[in-house]
Amino acid sequence: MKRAQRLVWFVLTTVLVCALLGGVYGRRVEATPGSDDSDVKSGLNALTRVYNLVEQNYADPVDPDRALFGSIRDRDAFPAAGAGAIPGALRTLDPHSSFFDPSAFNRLREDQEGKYYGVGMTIQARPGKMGKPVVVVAAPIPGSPAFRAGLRPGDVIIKVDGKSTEGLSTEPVSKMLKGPKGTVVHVTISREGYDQPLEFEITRDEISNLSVTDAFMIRPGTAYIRILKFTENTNDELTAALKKLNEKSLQGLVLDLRENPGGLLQEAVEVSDHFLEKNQLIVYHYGRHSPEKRYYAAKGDGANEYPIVVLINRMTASASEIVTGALQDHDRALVIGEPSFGKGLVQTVYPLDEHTGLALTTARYYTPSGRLIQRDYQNVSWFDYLFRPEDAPTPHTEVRLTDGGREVYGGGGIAPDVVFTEPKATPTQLMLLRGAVVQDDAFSDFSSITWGYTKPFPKTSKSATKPFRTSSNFSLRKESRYPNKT
Amino acid sequence: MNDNLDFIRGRIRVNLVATVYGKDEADKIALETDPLIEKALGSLPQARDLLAKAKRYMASKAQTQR
Repeated sequence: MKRAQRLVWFVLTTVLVCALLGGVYGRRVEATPGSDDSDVKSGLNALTRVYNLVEQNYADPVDPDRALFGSIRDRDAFPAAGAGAIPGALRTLDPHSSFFDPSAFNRLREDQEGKYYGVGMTIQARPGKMGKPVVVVAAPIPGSPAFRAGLRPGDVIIKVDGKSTEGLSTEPVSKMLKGPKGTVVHVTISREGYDQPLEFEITRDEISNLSVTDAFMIRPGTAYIRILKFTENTNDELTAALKKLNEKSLQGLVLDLRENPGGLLQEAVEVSDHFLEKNQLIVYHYGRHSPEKRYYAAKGDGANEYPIVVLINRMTASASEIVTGALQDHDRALVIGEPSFGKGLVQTVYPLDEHTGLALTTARYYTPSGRLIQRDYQNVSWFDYLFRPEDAPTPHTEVRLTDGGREVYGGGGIAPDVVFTEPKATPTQLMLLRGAVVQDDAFSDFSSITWGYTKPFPKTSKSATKPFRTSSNFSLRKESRYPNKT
Repeated sequence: MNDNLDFIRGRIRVNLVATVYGKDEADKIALETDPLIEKALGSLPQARDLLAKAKRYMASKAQTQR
């Protein structure tokens, strides 16, 4: 970044930091009129002095981008450290207010829009044969350009457009594979059973990043639907899935929200609307500068009364907790699993310019019975908040009643009606999954090696005719190492 | 190792299906052995009762208020 740009960013950061501090300590400032301007100036001066001293005297050159925004490497390695001035300032507010650098902002927009341009596969890093990390194909998305070209799980990506991927993480390789629709990317891969690298020319296309990743009849009359996240298209995808499954004839539905980290509030409202009666309250929220807003079922469930079981776990958060809370409070669904994550804060995303944005907590949301399901984040470390220890107690600080008069609890995520903890893997299973026997997961190695010697995929496979889709409900989803969609 | 044979068989099956037919088909296979899915399917009658009870409760409450 050019020096002038850096200076602009530095000034903006300083203003932002001071504005945030002003917001946090606003009442104190108001109580001492006349001092706020001087506080801001004093803060600005201190920050400028510190930065100048560091830039001029530090033993090594200072990377201003890293100092201001932090780096992906820092965030992955030291998430609790709050690397970078802006992320650090935001972290003093709550764990969910965050700054999006261009790369993160782009990912956010892709996630929300539910589409991107690329070849359509998930990739992940794993140790290579010589101990050096390599980037491998975790799974081509059925129907995608990568799938049609014949890439397979376990293929090691060694070059993209002639550029070696040696030593690269998934992030830069992912960037190399993405590009405008219709452009061609040349991928060189190494595959078990082949002495020489294989070359693929793949034309990039629009890849739908579906949020309803599974929808099928799991038993006669009973549907299974998995919602992986809440994007702009989730409601449309759910509507299409229910239509395909002939909703009127359903005798039961298993709605899987495990591992669903949330997403767009409006989509959570519309998904809940499908299952509730018209005019039933779904959620409401308010904040210091955000007046109370209530969301009701506008269309209703059309008198569908098939029983619903919602599955949740420790990673079910935010928008998926809104859906779970609404269905539980109206006794519309039985909730089974583990207590959910407990994120009851609403963020508003403010674009700062074309490439960066600020997600700021602007309100708290409440379930129809009045529960705030936000978990305490002020008396625990950032790490413990995000990676809650399994034996951490689940507080039942807020007792409310459902429509049917049952007690439900807030203050620590959604407490399931039936607690069901998934059985833990045995030491042998963990050993096989975590690669103590071979370099990587023993089963995917077995599959890729066994099928490495075979001809390409059967072209008539049922999956090949399906639309593009992604799914995290892979057999090894909990063990996957930061898969990246490309 | 004998205690883990079912697990090993299941994983091999899922991964082979993923390799040959893709993740979608493998997902369905994986769900067959998911204990929470079994629990969910067995709990559908309880979910039906829950909704029916709530409706009765709301109806009686509304009647009392009149």
